[in-house]
Amino acid sequence: MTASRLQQGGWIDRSREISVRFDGEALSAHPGDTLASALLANDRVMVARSFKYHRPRGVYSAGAEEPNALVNLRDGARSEPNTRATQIEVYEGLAARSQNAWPSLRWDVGALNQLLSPAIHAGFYYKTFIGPFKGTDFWMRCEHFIRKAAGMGEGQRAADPDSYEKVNAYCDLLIVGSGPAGLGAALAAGRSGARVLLVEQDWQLGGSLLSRPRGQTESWLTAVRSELNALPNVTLLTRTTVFGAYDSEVYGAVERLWDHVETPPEGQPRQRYWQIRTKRAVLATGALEQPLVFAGNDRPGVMLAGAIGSYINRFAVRPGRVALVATNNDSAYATALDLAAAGAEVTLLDSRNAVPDSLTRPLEERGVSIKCGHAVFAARGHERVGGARIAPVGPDGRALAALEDITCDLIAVSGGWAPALHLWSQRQQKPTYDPERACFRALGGWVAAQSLIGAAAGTGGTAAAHAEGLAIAESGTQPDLPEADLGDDWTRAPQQQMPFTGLNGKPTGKAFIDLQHDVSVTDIDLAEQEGYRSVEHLKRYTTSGMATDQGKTSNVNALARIAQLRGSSIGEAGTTTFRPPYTPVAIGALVGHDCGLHFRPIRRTALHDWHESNGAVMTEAGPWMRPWYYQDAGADLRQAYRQEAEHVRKHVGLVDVSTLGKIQVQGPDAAEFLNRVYVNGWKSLAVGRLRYGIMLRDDGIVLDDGATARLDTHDYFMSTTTANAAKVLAFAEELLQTAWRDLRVQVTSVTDAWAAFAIAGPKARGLLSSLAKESDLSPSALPNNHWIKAEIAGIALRIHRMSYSGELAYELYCPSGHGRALWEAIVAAGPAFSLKPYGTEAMGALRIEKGHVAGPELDGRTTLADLCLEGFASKKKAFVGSVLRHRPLLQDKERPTLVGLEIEGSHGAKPGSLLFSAEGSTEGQGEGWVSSPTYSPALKRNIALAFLKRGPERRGETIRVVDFLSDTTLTAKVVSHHFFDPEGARQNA
Amino acid sequence: MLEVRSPIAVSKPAPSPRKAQLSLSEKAPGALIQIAAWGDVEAALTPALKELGFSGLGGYQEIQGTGEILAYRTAPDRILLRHPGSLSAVAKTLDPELACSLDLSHARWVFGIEGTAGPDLLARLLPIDCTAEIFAIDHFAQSALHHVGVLLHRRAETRWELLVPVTWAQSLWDYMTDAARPLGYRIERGTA
Repeated sequence: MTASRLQQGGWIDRSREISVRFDGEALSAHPGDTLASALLANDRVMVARSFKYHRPRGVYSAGAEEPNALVNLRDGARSEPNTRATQIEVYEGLAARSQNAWPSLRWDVGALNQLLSPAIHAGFYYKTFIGPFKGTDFWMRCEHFIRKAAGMGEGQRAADPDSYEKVNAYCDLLIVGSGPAGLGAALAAGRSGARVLLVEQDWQLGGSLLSRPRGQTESWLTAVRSELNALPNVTLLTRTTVFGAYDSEVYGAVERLWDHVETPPEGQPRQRYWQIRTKRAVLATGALEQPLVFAGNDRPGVMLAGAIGSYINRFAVRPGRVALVATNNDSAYATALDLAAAGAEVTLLDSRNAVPDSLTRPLEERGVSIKCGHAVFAARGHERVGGARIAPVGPDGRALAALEDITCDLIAVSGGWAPALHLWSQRQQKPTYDPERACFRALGGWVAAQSLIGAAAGTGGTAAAHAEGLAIAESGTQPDLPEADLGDDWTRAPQQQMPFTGLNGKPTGKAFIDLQHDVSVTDIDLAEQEGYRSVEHLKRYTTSGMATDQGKTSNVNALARIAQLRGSSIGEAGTTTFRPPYTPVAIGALVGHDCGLHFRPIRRTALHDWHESNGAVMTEAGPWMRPWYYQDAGADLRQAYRQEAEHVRKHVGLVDVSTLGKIQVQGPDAAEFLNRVYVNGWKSLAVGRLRYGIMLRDDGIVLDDGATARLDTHDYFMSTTTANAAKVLAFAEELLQTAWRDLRVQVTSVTDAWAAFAIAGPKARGLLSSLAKESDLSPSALPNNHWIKAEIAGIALRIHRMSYSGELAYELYCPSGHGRALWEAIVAAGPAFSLKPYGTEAMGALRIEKGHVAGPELDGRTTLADLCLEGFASKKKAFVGSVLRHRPLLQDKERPTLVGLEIEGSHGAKPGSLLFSAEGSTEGQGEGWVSSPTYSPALKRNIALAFLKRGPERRGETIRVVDFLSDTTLTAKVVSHHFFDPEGARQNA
Repeated sequence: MLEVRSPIAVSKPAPSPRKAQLSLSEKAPGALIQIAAWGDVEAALTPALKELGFSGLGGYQEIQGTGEILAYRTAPDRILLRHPGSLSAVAKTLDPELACSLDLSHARWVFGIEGTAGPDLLARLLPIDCTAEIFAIDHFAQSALHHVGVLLHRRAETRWELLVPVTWAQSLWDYMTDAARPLGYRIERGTA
């Protein structure tokens, strides 16, 4: 193969020359080239090594279907493997390298795999690694080497320095593809005033027209482009691939905004992911030319005929000097003509026995030698084609005579065309094989609001496709397909696909069905022989059609071989369906901004900035950021939280509890509503009082707990745990909108509206009294479970007397926009009372000392009885879960029940550790688990809340606490979970 | 009167390399009162709405406005009233047996978006068609911005407001400014 740049023609800008590098070698290119055309123009024929056998491979196509010329584009953090050289637009400084070859593309050690090919056929790893070996150890050892030997480029571990974005788009009509059919549709719809989005994966509009001699189409294309550009209701998106079609007329597309430069401009995203919602879609996605299958059909220099037309007419590159064109349909005649016009010596083989004079005459006038009823049976050469072996061919694809050697450096193949039905098929449609046009078509059913036109619909001929585009946009229905003309029609009497074999029905060498995954005819034969009848099973066994090209050039030939083996038609052999994406999509594009800082939205309290600027180490609590501990209290978490908790017991502490869920419950039936959702009674709660409540799920498992205050006659303020706030609100809304529509109640989240702080410790009343001077906070005026309105520093607030820590404590609620001011006022008054803020770790230690349950105990598995809260359940009323909580399973006396553990020794228990009796085996799930461990500053020892079978009966028993992850065993004494001040003297002070 | 502290205390306006096509701002919403009812919602809320000058409950997309008071019907049984000053009198006009009111003034924050590139930015934030033919002036929509429920209001041809939950505001502000960076923007404080 001797490829070269033509002296004239093409859509490239010859006035500028740019330098690109491939495997370190500088290549000359022009704007308008792809990397593939630049490689060919510089006679770089071998550009890759194949996936399994490391066979030399060259450029095979000129588009998205490329199976061979996959390269690693760019270096460093911007490196991107498996990019198709046929779609890479050249730019100054472009650097690409071959992949899957070591130490070099030419001298590749992996090529030794070719010697092993008889042993590494389809499914070899399933067979090789099953017995006589035991277990998977042998496979695990071999896997490392197999993966190293195979592969499709290398991923980049460095962070991607570029940004991506997601955009929503809306239109009346989405047109995918800008060939003659798509442009026709865009013109008609655009002229009618409809909001049109025309999407083209290339950087120029024109589709297949760009592969015709420029002189034939330039003026027409220029006029159409300029008209479309002038229509304000038409949006043109080039460099954009529609990769997926989804329900409700939603389409996904990726726009490669700045892939055609080395580095995107500052602040600009490299790619943009479009989510398109349209009223209708027109798919003018064209058709993909199919290969011919014969021995050595993967050699560099074997190319799709239509692609050769593109390289000659669009890129002004002649891929070879002596060309053999092999076809089973009319379309390759145009390529033969292009090659001849470009100065190549051309021989055309047509496996059909007769073709019309109108096809042959123009070629014969150019000196092209034409042999009908002939096919190519083998390509000769290694790193590039050096010749071919041809012979007359029978209707079953077998050679009818001895093979004849001919010399050539380029083999152009055309095995027919496959309409690009992907976006149609993705909407759960199955294509049907049309033997007359030798292709799968969308005959089985239409997707509402989606139309196929042009080659995608199986229509042959440019003029017919364009007319169809004009018609579809105007009528809005699927038109009758027009008669095909002969000029550029691939649908006229093509021969059905079949591999070309010797007299014995076998290829005369390695003949490939799937070039990208190195699946040969032999692999398909083996799978068929082993009984893989379903094409879906066969596909997975051989991996045909499963590479990054998703079988764009292999599916039809795989089915053709199966049909050939079974003596059936291709349609009977099976069909092929498609899933998104049409071509690979960068994960970065799908992610857009939703990474790093924006991986998920973060929720902050009104005090967030104060915490950060006062030494708080923040921690995640669901979506919230909360102060974990304050660094000025100690050097690390361990020291800090112990000091903070101890300080609360001795003096007074302040903690931000704004994250608690807050729900306003309003209406005349609010008390009845609470009565139904909580296990305890609410009808007697007076205004000015608050009460602790527990709620269950329908199945009797505890859902959540919290305190609810009665603010007014019809107005309640419910608090939930931080974790369950959204769940409880949704639960309440669902009940009110379905089961309890009779209740006159509204529930609204007010979590955002209120900042909340807890002041806890023996000095809490003194501190608060010094601030809320107008309020009487004495025990008689404000006993436990009461609330009052107050004012501090001009800020109106509510003071709830309740305790989570077991200390004398108050919760303060103020409008969130005043939260920071209130907090700072409290802190300013704090020194006289030794006030210190404390974080969630100290808060957790305090509640564990007190024996209060929280998230680790309300884990969706525990019942009231498990939590020793059975006494809260009313026997006088029904409530959510009141029936199913009596299920026998939940009444089992053996269920693990809440206990306290005093851990022996200086090491604390790990949450999730399993509990075992002191004697006996250490197997299975044990007799319970540790839910919340901590070091107790008050008790000066490690303690934990845990669930233990028959827990309360076993107080005083010594058990083992086993952490299998760290392989450690501790011993602990079972005690009451009320470790500290069980009588509540401190909180009731 | 006490100042309502902005939740966007720490703003990180990244340098916008392009000429600013957008003006972004943030401010408190003023008074924000939710009125809601049960049973016959129209009968329960209409008297109070008429007292404010509205004709009825209104639709789910078009904002009702009388003077400085705006009414967004956010659900079949809920209306969000907004006023730059005070709406404390509204509660007194409701029969507590039929309806209720709730002060949400501190629960939301307002992001302002102004400029011809407004629809381009919104297309990067929300799955809403913001073209003038579809989303007219003084129309609103409720949607999710980065998974958080927000309310979008078109105030003028090139001016938009987003009402966002105050605890998510900083996160959404950062998200919005990052999305606006390729378009070019400037920040105007407190003028949403």
